[in-house]
Amino acid sequence: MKSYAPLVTLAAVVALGAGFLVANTMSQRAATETSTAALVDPTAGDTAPSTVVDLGRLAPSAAPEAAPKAGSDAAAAPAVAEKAYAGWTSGRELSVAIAVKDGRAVGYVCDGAATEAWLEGVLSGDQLSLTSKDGATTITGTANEASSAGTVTAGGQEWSFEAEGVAAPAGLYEGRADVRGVATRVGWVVTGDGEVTGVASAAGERRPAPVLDPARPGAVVLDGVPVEVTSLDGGSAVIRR
Amino acid sequence: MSATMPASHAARRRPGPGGVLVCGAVGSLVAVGLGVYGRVHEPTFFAINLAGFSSGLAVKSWLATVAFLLVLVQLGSAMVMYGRIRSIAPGPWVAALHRWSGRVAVLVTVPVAVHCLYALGFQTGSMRTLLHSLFGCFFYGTFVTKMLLLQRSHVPRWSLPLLGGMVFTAMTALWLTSSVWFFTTSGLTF
Repeated sequence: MKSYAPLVTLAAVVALGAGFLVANTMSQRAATETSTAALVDPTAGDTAPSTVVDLGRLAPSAAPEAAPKAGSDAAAAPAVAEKAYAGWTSGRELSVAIAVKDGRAVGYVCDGAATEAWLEGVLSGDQLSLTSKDGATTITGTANEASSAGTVTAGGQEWSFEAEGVAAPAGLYEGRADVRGVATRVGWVVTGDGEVTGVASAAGERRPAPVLDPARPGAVVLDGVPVEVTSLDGGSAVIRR
Repeated sequence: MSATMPASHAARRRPGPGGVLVCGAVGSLVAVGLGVYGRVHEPTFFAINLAGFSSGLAVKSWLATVAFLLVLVQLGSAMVMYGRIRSIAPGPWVAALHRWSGRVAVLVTVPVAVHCLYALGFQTGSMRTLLHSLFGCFFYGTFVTKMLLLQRSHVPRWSLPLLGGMVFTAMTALWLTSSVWFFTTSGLTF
């Protein structure tokens, strides 16, 4: 005497869960479409909101000058083993941070207000190539021990950028917070001058990031909720599927 | 016939743990699958809000509280069914109560779990979120195992109380690490 009632219960749970998942996915898609319509405002210009912190007062961690590998054989061997770069596009439209490690590269661009993108890619030789998850934002350029330069493409527009090699606490930061049930992700670019620019993203909506003091990353608060802040290197995963 | 009957009787009395292992394996796959999904996909979503509630988190907290209360009914009705509460005579109504409170309880958890998995993902940031994530995956794994066990005709006597206890433990831990946390930090809000 087999009982099928438990299987029916199981099926009901699966069906209900699938229904909620589909509903969520569809409203998420609608929200993303409305927000990408407003992506990349070229008039952002020098109004990009950023804060400046005095990195000098921070204990300067011994600059980890990763010696370039005696790259003799393979042309594709990365020119720089591990480094972080931070800077701006030429008209300060977007701040750019790139971190490389062992040939892998992660990047973040944002305008400090409502535009941002996370990118992943590779450093092959001195050639950088990074792409965002949706492919709409790319970074191509070169990188060496001192600096990185190239082109940011976002929403069909191109900007040239220059980013200098920086040591902690400058670099690329990511923050995550659960603001009353909504997962929020924050990215910050901290340049060698101590200029901090960031954008917070939740549910397809973007807004200026809360203030990050690299000396006290644990003190960042967004809407009264503490933000978990991590410093990223080239080995970090910034794009999830 | 007389030669085979005792053997089959014995098999019927003392079913091996094979079926339990199979069901447990399926449940484990479900638990691990949920965890992997929660870990690898990018969590970004608004809370679905219901009319009358202040936030999605309040909705989740109250739904989880309803589920927890029903799980207490589950524990009580199971104890009656197994004759642990002498003062209440077990009858068919107890089984019906156990079944239906369980069905409602697990269905009530589904919108909460989907929101957790889709919007927040498997989180390890604090002890509370880590425990909650682990127990969330564990809960549905044990639930699936128990449903599969119930559907089999012959299972060891210890298996259903064990699985029921695991489901109860997981639900209690989930409620403590979510609703109780929410109500103590945000107040008893609707």
